[in-house]
Amino acid sequence: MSKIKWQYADHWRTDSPKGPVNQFASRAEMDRFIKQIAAVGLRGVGMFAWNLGAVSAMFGGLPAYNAFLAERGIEKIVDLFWCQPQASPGMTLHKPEHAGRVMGMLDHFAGLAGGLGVENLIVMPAHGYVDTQPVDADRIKVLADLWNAVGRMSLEKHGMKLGCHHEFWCGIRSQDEIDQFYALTDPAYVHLYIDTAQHVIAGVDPVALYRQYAQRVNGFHFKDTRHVDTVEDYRSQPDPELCASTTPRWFWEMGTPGGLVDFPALMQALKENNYEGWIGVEHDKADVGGGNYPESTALAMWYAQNVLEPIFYGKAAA
Amino acid sequence: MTLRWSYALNQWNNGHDRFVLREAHANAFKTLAISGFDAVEIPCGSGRWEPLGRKDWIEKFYGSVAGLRADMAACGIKAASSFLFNPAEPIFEEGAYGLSVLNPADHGRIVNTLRQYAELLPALGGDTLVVRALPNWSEKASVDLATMQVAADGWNAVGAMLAPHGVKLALNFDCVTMARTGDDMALLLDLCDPETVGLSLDTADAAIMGLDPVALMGRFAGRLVHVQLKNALERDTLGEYRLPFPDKFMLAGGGARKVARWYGELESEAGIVDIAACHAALVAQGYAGWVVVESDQSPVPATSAMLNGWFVKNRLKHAELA
Repeated sequence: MSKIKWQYADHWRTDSPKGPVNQFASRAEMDRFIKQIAAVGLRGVGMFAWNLGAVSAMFGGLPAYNAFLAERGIEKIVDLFWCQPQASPGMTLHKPEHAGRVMGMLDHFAGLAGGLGVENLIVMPAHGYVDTQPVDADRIKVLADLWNAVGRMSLEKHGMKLGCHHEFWCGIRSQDEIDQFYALTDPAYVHLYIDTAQHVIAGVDPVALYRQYAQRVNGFHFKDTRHVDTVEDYRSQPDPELCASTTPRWFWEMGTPGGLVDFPALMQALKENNYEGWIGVEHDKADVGGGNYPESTALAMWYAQNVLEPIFYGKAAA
Repeated sequence: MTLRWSYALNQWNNGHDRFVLREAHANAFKTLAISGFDAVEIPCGSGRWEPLGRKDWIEKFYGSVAGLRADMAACGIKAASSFLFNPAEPIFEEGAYGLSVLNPADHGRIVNTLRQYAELLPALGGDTLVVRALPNWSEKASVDLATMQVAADGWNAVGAMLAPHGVKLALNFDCVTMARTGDDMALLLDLCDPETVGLSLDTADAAIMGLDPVALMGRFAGRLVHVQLKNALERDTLGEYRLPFPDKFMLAGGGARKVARWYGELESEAGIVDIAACHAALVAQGYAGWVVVESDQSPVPATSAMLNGWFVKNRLKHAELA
């Protein structure tokens, strides 16, 4: 039995006579999406938490969606993802008085997915950097307290591990900020969810980060990048992933020429730490500049099965 | 016996300069390999935008034919099952701008240009040369015994040239060709040497013409050496194969009905080909040739490959094992 399984993280968009559509437009689009990812060896899906409602309505309930997935070769929803990129008067993550609202919202989303075997609740642990600043020890402590509480609720009430996913433009983005945050959070309740491209862009080595926090890692988004942010593009407004001064496209599929993520080294580190579980494949904005999500996904899974799995399992086993 | 599966690269080659770079070839090979296919069908071609279409261009682009095969293998593709040739297409390297098998004076040139595939195919692990059997429909030509004898003479010469190399010639009748019925096809096939010349059946093109591909498989079981398995979304109910340049005005332009796309994926909801029945017929009759999956006019080639891969693996191959 495989120790690692691959899952796909939600971002998907293809052309249609109506313009671009995603898998939440109809059962027919969902059918095409799921069959495409199953065809190339993916066995799970990650979902944005706010899409649960649409999927439930489309299938008459999430258990029916799970059955739909199984009929097509996908085991289950593995992760739920949530973030709040902008601070707002009604919800500011680093205001202690708003902690109850955050807790309530995530309790609601996790509750929707009850009984489906969802393993992880993934969050961006701060707003974007500009909305979080000043990022100092006091602010990081407030955020750590929030996620300690949410992580405890998530695990004890819903059986989901909380994982924190650090976008390159997140309020907690540098190695020092990450170290401060994990020093203040409870290893039993707050885990690190490594997005390989986001860390590289932020100047953090994801291989070293994994080796440092291996026992706290509860999953990955494997994607690549060709750029490191050296000019504070993470401050770009309104969306640093779209409005950066240095590149129109930050994210690429694994195996892309010029990719800066050292996936073979990361896979070797996973092997040495006896990692077992899911690895997410993610393509964010794969269609910028003429690419497309299906081809990026096929190429990434070709790389995963032909380059990475032999490293993890040893060539003979592969 | 399980079927031999391949996949046609033509869905990527959907514009004269869209499928030229080696990176584009590698991406297509990897996409097909991860979708469950390990062989490809390559369209013959000419000029700087068709680097896979001829031996001389393969050698320029890949260093050698062995170089191409090594690159294919590195991506997980074991063979080029087949090449697909249309005599009417320009062959710039030979100063040919529209050869016809109905012109006896062209027969020698056709044989000579196809000699390279007698070497190419075995070197790439394949064994079938598919040719467009007849030109477009025309008021000036009819499917009669004399005309088909001319075509048969040409294809028999090609088949005889290929046979010593272990390569079969497969005559393909697409939906805009002058042959419109099974009887038309039979007239030509019966004049060709069964040892060296067989039939290539395209399930979608047959359906667009209003023919039943399963019935054709049964009728020509003894001559069937190559299948292009694909779905069609519309029939040519207006007889628009009679249009001038029907590949442009009917197939690309959509004809009077403005058909958005004639071809579809194997499992297309609106498909008019019973793909499962076609597959069952091939299995039942012990078909031994290649089954080449196609999705012409694909708006997103990777999507077509992945959806077709899912269907072949989860439906058709399961049925083979049942």
